[in-house]
Amino acid sequence: MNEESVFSVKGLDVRYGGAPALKAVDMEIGPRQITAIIGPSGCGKSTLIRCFNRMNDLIPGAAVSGEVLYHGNDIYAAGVDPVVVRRHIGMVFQRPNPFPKSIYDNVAFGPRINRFKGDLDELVERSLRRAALWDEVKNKLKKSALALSGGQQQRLCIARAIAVEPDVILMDEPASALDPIATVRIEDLMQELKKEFAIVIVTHNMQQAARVSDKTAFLYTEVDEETSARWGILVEYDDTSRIFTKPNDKRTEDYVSGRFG
Amino acid sequence: MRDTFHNELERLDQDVLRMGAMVEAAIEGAILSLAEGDIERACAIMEADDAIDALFIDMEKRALAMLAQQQPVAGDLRLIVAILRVLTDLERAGDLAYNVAKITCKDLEIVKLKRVSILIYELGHASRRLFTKALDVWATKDATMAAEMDQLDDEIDHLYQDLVKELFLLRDETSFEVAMNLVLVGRYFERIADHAVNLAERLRYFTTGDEAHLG
Amino acid sequence: MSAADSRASAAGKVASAPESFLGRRPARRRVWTDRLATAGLMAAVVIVLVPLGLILFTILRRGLATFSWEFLTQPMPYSLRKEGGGLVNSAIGTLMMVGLATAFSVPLGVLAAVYLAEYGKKNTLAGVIRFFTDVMTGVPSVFVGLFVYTALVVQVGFGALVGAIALSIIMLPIIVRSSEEMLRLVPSELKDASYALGAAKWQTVSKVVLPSALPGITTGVLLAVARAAGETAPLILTALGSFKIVTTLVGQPISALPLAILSGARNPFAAGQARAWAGALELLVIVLVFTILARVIASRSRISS
Repeated sequence: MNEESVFSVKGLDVRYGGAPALKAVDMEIGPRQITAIIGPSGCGKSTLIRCFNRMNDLIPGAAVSGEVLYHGNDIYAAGVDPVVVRRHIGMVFQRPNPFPKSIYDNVAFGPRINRFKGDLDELVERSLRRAALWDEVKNKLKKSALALSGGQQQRLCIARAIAVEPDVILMDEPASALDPIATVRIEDLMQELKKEFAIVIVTHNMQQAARVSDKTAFLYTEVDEETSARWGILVEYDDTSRIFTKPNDKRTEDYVSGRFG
Repeated sequence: MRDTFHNELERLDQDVLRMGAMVEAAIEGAILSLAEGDIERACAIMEADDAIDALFIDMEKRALAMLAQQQPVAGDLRLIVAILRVLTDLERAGDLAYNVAKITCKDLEIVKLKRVSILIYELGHASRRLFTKALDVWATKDATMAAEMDQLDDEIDHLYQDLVKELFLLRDETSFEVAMNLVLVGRYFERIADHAVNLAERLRYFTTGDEAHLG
Repeated sequence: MSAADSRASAAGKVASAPESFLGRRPARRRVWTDRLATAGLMAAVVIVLVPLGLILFTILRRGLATFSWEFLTQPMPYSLRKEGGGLVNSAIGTLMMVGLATAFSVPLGVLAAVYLAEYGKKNTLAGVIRFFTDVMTGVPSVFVGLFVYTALVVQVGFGALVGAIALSIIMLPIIVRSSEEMLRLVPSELKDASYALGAAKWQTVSKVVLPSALPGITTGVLLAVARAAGETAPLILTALGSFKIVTTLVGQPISALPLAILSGARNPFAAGQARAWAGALELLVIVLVFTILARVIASRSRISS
């Protein structure tokens, strides 16, 4: 394992109620870079990213085996509290989901839960600045977060996630519910954020993965002919420039060229 | 999926061969018209260059449109980039054949200089053969054939050097103008061969994606 | 249309033009069916509104005459024949019992709803709770009164507390079911976001789910309160009724507005009946206020989201 890696995944297997969803995934996530996970729908991208912060635990019948090392510590070891794990890892979801509270209270939620003792005002401002939202909301921090536009709400969710100072941000299709301009702003924000955070992004938009990421992982489905069971496997994981100019696996080549979806 | 795009890409690929065939005919015609002193044929070749240029412009436009609108990646991207570079090589080769035909129109009576004319025709034919081979390499997308081209190009370089030596030896028997024009013709054939080698190199990069095969 | 056709119709030769949408009127039969259906529906609405309107109108007419400051602040006269006096003792009784019932049933009901929506979900205990809650919403309120009578009044006598208990038994299932619905409506994405920030389950429930569902829960509570304020049958058997202003919780029968209306209505004397009408008006106003409040809160929460 690379000492620098933020995450080190070995032999990850996920099952939902006994049916396999993901098999034998090995990968390393490096610090201060953007890693994209691409693949056709149903290949397990969301399942994979949710393994990084044990969000799969919330799904009844989910079983995860294998190792997921976060800075060398297996987050799936016996006795590890998933709540503690999630405090170190931020997550942003596909549809912006701010709480029906004020903008300030949204950003302050995480720190308050974690019994933050310092200057909350300063932390909220810093988080909103890093999420490129401060200038737009500094005069209406007490207003409801639901009054913001979709793109602003998503940046608020990013500010909320980074307020607890994680070193990784997981993003599950963060821009797919946004219009093109808002999408570009999120992508620009990601380039800024990667100076401080490792970012893992799931996207079904290949051009976005090509534009934004440093490394790309391609997941694809395998099918058991007899039982018609389907599960995801990691086909190729490499520098983004390689994946999009000369991938090693034909399946990767066909997928990125759009020969199948 | 993306059938329209991939069909369009394949048509562009085939059109490279079509343009190649036109240039090949121009080269062959240039050699023949030089050999027989056939000024009419030479003029026909010069006019035909317009068609080659028109096809070049059309194909460039199509390639650019595909880049902008289809965002090709991986193999598709390497193919379009290869096609764009190969187009310039073909167009230049066409221009060189045009230049040879133009010199023929000056009615040089090189037939009288036996040694020289043999060398020139050998040079021309070798160059044309190399060019044809390059087109075969493109048609079959066979990178191994491309590796053989260097050797043939060396032979052409030798022939060119022999030509220059021969012209120098005969400097008292011919006029300066004739000698200069013959050197130019030799140069043009030699450069056609270089473009053919470039074409093959481009093909190798497309198939292997290995930067070592560039340039 | 082809060029020839457009030129032809422009020249007025419509007959040679193909079917055009312009200038044709809708089929007569369809128009009349539409109109008939609309008229029928409006008639149904009017029929429904008529009794409601009559009730409101009658109460206003009969009650307004006696509605006065004296009415609102004076207790019932001992002699029902007498004019004057008021129903302040009943009003106090209603406020006390409904207030107590709310204090019992709201925390209990909301917590039960939280269990059903967040913790129990589909397990057996949750299923049992839901089943019995549903049954209880359908139990006639006189049965509730009878039950509390047999269980408690026989031991401790009539009073405000047992009346409040009877009312809370009626309010509880309403609050549990409506609160559970509201809690269920909180989008799971919000819960996901909370968990992803490192919140434990109870933190998510108390800081995200409950606050989000609060407007809806409040609406349910206010509607339950409005219902309880108007319940008569259970109070007959538990509070009994009284002429006096009563403030003790146990042992003393106490009046309530619905009880006063009932006894006043049966009263042969005009004065008593007049007070009953005014009492009905007072009760109506109270119920109306709570219902409107519930709607205002519900719509305000919709506006902000």
